[in-house]
Amino acid sequence: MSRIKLTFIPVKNKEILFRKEKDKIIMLNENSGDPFYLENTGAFIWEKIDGERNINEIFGCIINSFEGDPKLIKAELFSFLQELEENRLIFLDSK
Amino acid sequence: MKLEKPLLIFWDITNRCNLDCNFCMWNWDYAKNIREASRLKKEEILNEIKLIKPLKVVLTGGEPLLTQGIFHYIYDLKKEDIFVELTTNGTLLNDYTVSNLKDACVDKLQVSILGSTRELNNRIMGGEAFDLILTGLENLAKHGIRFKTKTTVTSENIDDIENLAVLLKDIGAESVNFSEFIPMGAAYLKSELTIPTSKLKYWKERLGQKFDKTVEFSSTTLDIKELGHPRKCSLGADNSYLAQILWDGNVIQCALSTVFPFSNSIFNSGLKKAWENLSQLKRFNPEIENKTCSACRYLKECNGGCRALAYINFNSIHNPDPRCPEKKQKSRKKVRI
Repeated sequence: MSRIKLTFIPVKNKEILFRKEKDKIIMLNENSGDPFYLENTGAFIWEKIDGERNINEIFGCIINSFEGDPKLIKAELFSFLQELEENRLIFLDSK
Repeated sequence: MKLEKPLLIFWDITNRCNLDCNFCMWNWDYAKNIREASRLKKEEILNEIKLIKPLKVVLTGGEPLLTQGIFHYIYDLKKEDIFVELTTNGTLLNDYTVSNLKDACVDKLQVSILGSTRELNNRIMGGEAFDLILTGLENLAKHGIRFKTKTTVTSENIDDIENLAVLLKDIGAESVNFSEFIPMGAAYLKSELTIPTSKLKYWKERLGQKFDKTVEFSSTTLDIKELGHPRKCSLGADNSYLAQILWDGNVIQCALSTVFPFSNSIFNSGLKKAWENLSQLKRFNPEIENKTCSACRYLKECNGGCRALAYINFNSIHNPDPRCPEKKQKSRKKVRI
């Protein structure tokens, strides 16, 4: 079971340089130089991460914008955020 | 996902330098013959970078602050929303220069320093640099410009790195990086610079115990020892996310790859095409087939390791990386460096 909770607030790592180009987000860790890219829903979620919205609110944004089974979407959102965290692109604030 | 452009560009804007570090990897014949492109050519390179619009540009050299118009180049890149870092030996960071860097909106500097004492630092750098660097670092702190430091570590300064880390953190360095030297350029075949593995291990552990993660020690020797083999060479890999533009406009993938005969000028085809051409470097990174490697259990993981180091040590891209612990080899030929 995921340790991530809906009340957690995702916060972007300040070391990550990023820019939206067309429908993609290109990213680069300022210090390590590691590159990352996000497309489609991933890019959409990245844009919703503002250090204020919690995961539940981001989930709401997705539901309002994309069609699909909410249970599946929630599971995929958790998995995606976990991946972002593992790559140190975001931190999850549990406050 | 297929990349459409490089995200990180290193621009070696000059190879002129006011110092003469005894391990400098640029100190060899390719570098000695060319100094810096004309102003017009540099403007052309600048425009190509702006067209590509990477996320980050590192202005380096040589000593980039010797380049006329450097503040203009920084400012122009910043206007394009590009993160700009400048690497410098720190000797030219007087109040006027730092003030201009601030006005140009540079994001970050990487400053080289090699010892915590005047005597040690100046001996390695080959010039009266120590006091100028310290003043420069203080100027950066005073003007609120972010900076990190880089120290190339050899047998000469390894025992000094703890003192140096204390000094640099005290001045306000955001991060302090120590890196084991690469045996090429001026350091090629200088066995006296080699650091015993036990010493590397000791200092890496000691720094780890004493400081937080902002003080780093990277050692290829220790990495190879831990892995059991050198890392696989990525020369010519499809979709590289970086490009390095040399002072003459030639575009390469990594500094070591300049040992190969590969002409890829930005002035012939533009930066995007030159970056795409980097996949042609693959011909210098073939699947390794030789007696030493064929029987090795790590062949798939390392494919012989760094091709440039194999080439400059053995004059062949089919030989193993000279740092390979699986098979100690004797250099057959001393090549041009």
